Amino acid sequence: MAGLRAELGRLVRAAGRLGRLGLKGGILVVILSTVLATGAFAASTFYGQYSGAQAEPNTRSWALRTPSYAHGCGDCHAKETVAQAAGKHASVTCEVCHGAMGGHPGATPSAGSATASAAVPMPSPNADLCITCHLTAAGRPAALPQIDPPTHYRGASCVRCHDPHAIVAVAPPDVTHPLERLPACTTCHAPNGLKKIPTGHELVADGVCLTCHRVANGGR
Amino acid sequence: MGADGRAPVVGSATPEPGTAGHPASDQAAGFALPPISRRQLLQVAAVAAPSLVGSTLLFEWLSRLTAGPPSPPIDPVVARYDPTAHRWGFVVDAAACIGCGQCVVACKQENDVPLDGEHTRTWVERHSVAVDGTVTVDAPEAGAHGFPALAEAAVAPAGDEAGSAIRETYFVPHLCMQCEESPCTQVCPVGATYRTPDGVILVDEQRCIGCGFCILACPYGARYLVPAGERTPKGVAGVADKCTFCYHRITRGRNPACVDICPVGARRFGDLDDPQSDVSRLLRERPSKVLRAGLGTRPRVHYLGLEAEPEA
Repeated sequence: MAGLRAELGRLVRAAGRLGRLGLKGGILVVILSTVLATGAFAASTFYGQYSGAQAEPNTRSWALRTPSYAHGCGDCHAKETVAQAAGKHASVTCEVCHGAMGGHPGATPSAGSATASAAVPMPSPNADLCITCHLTAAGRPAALPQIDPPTHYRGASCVRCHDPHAIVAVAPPDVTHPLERLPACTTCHAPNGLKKIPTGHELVADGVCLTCHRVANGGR
Repeated sequence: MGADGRAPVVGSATPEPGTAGHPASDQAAGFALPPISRRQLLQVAAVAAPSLVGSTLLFEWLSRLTAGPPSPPIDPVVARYDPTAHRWGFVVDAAACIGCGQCVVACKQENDVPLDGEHTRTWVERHSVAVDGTVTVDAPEAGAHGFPALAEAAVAPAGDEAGSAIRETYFVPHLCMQCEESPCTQVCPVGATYRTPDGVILVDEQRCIGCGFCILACPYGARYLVPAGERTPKGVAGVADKCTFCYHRITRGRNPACVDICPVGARRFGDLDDPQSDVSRLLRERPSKVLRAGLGTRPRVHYLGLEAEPEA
């Protein structure tokens, strides 16, 4: 009996020691856990550490930008793209001249439905745009058609003769009659004159006719 | 705690050096850890193991607590993009370039880059090589609006008349070389510029402190500091900016804007790991060079038709 009591007493004391040990250990565990977690958390947050490891969200932010330039114009504008693809401008995509069309209906999923017909302002191509490529300039490959604006049908817009999509040049008719002792061109060539000018031909001042209509067959 | 009250009564005197006793602790001369008992080891383990578990749980809880709102809906195409599956490369055909500058216009439009010639991600230079081999460069407004009929060198010959006669003139489009050994990422003191697994060097505009080290380090002049104004690529001024290969387009399976817009195919883009890609084919079929190869930056942008260009 005494042996058993002594054994029990030893067990109780051992349990007490273990309990005190557990309490101390528990406190230690809590302190250590907090320190470790705080350190790891500080290191993982934005200002904790500079390293490429945090690049992922930034990479995503670059990837998620919305494209300004669309593609697939021909899905709706087949007429123009077919003409363009068959001509010399086949490699010139629509947006080279028309500008970025990412905001155009149907161009991107976020830009509205493909059937929407809201008017999107389109930069109207002008001579400045054409000569960006076609001005005679040092360094341009010889195979590229280049013009010197002062001598190339000065005064008329490019698209007057060059279909902007098919790029077929329609040269203005030459002047086939002598010009000496004749009055101003517009005396005869007028909407209701002796020689009617085609409908749709813009009315211009007399002096500029010869910049497009070149004189042939012994004219002036 | 432990064996207290059981102080050894025998052999309590310090053992003589060199004798049996505790030779290890004597010889260690204070550098070795004190001998640790199995009991002590178990005690340390009993504290360390739950501490690690506890700290992990606490870390998770802290992270969840401070997590911002859920990230914006990801474009499904972008979400499917695997950056480890590509090795992007770029080929510039200088022989084909007509110097129209539409690539510069497109880049600025696509990426909200300032419209002036000084702050630009891409630009076109006109190189005039004189008979004596000197190269004169002109790039008005970064080449964005095309080029005048005559190069600067032809208008005002510099130096001696004989040497300045122009032998050859051609256009050289420029952009970030996306170097495999990129000086810019190496010098950045805050790790704000980094390389993606597919080989594109990006700038984290939230981290960039605008010190300009990367701009000085870049041998190709491909970086600029975003000026305050209406056009800022990421809505932040005072940070470094550079060509991203139009990262938002290539992750959607499209070409960079400059490549799509080039009317003569002088800019090509593709996967160098794909033998069928435009860039792989061109590099196989035609002689190419990289700019300033001697620097060892290993650019991902290759040039065709630069035979006349003297080595930098």
